[in-house]
Amino acid sequence: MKKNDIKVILIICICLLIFFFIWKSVFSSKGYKVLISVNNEKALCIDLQNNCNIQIKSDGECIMLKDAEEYDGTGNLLIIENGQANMVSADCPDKICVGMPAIQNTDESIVCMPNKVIVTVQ
Amino acid sequence: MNRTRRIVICGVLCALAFGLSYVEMLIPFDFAVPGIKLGLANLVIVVALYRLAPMDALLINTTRVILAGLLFGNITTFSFAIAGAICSFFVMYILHRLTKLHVVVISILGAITHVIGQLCVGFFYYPSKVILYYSMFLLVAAFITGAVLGEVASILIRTINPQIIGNNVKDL
Repeated sequence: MKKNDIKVILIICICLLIFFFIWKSVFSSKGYKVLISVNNEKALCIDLQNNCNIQIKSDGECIMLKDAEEYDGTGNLLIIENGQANMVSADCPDKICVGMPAIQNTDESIVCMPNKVIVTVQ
Repeated sequence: MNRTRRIVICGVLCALAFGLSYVEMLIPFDFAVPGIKLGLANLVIVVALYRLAPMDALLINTTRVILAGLLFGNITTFSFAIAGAICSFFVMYILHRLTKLHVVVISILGAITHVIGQLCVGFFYYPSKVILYYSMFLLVAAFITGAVLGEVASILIRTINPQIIGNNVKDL
């Protein structure tokens, strides 16, 4: 391997990186709707630009809360803010859904297995 | 190199490349993304490109693709294979002739143009965004397999006795 070879390999790597960023910007398109389903049934579909706090109960009922502090500790608490949806609190035993990162791109989702709640961006 | 020897060497290398395309089919390498292949047959083509006349290497390449297409594939897979093989061959040949780049670099560029050729055919068949989505995985895989096989090819070119295979030895 000489200097020229390494230069060419670097150029290839840079081209691949540039292509990767173009690819990423094309395919990580921001979603505009959040679909909440409980027990495999559609519970609520809401705009992602709509800042709100939603309490999702295990029977599929979704209550809009004015303030996150109104949450009484039953079901899951989903907060939609700045175009991102995040599960903030839940009454399930494992709290895996609370640990999941906030979602904003198409087809990303937050799943709470014990409560059978699935939140997907569309 | 006399005529008989040339025919024999081309035939043997062709059989080897063809055998390697079969071996490649047996290795389940495309577990994550469909379409990823090792490109073992390209090893023979690179060695032939460095050691034989370019016309012979091209003949070995096309014969291998036609045979593999007839036996293992259908018209769709054949068109993918021939597009990739011819694109990568011409790029590797031109780079080998005009520049003094290392085999590894030439092999990487060959693998990448192979993928680009296949993507063009893929876009012709299914003009959709899915092709572009796959392209990233295929290009990265091509870079890695191209580098690994290029290194193997450089060892082969250094060690195979030029009196057995070769009339066109160029320093590495």
